[in-house]
Amino acid sequence: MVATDFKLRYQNSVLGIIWVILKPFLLFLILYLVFSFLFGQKDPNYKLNLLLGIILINYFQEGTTLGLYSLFSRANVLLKVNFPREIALYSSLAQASISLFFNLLVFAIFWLFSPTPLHLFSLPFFLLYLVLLALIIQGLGFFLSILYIKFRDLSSIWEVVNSLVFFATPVIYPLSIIPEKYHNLVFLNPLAVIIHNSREVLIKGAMPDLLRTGITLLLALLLFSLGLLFFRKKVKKIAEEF
Amino acid sequence: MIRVENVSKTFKIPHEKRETFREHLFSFFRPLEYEKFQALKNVSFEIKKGEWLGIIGPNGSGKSTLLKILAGIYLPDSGKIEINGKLVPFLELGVGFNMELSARDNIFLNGIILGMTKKEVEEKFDQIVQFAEIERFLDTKLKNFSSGMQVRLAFSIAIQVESDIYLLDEVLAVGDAAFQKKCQEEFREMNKEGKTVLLVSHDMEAIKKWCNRTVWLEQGEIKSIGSPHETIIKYGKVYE
Repeated sequence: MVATDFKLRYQNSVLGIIWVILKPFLLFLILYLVFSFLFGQKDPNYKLNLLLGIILINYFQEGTTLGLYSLFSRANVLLKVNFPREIALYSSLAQASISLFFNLLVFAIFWLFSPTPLHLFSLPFFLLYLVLLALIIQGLGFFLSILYIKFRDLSSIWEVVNSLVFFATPVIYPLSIIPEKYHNLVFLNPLAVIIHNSREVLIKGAMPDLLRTGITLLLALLLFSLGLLFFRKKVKKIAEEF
Repeated sequence: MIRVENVSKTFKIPHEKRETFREHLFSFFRPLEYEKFQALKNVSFEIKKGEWLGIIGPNGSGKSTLLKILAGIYLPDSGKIEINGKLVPFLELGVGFNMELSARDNIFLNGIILGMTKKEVEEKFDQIVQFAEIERFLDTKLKNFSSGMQVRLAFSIAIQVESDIYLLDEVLAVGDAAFQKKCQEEFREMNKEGKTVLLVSHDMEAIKKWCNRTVWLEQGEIKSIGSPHETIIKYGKVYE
């Protein structure tokens, strides 16, 4: 199912698989050209920070959007065969993760050409943040996929939420332009914790904020398990709602 | 073996369809009006291992709902269902077929959706291709297949799925005369191997030929159950 989705998505476009990489990369290029004048002088790593931020937020947006449609788009199969419905969601997540993987390859290339040294401890931490992000995406996906069947305008609402998240998270702007006293507010957003700390470990080589990481971990686990419970409870009756 | 005890199923059919937050918001204080449609009323029957049960009845009598409940797609409102053995539903041929992919990819896709493992599909691959007679078009996209060829491919995959119980919903009338003959042989094979089959069909000849017993559904209730011959005669008196 995963392979099919991926094949289908890109085989009809002439550039094929290249689009997976090109999409966030073009966004990066545009934002970089526009905002590097604004924030670039203060932050020598602005380029890498921006690219990593875009890649991670792109993973979130793509993952949740695919999750939202995951049951709906497979209605024809769901109504004819009984299989564990969660597979549809895992397949969406896997699809988003494949794009993430290719995007991270691009990031790795950029990173090689920058003077940032590699810190041994940073990779396991970065992996942890990716897992946290995946848990959050999947947890939201459990809710969104079911709710979308009942409320078809959820897709438009979610688009707005996605762009809101994009601007509420320090992706294009560095955290430093926000006054210190509001930082706690910014970090209520788990994505901000994940992206900020990923940058800290991977680009700056600093230790991550363990307390906030722990809180985010708990939050992600809670979201995931609540989502799974909700999904399992509601999915049995979902065939009648299509 | 399948045992169905007092199974009922009611669908709520709303007068207006509220599908968006906007609609829910603007009509918050107006209760949703709907009609109840009872698709199945206290249906009970039993199928023994190796038995072929035919289900007949006019459109809308609950045949497909019954199969969907047995397949686990709908939950019954009340009643009990007991199923011993692996069950494969063929409510439609070619579930999950994707027109943009080649026949080869679709064989794997459909096979896995029907519950085969990848290895099983690999083992059965040649048989499927041979049976469907599509050797030359293996790498052609499915959208370039004729509809007859698509159905033939779907049927060929379906019969390779190993299972104890099969639910067949109107899948008999497939392909040209030569292909029909091959299907009949395949059915005979299934019969010999002692597979259990639930067959929904409007083709009375097929029911008479293959089934040991027949259930006649009428507006969600079992009107008659017994030998195919008698049931079909009774059914014929009402509808012909």
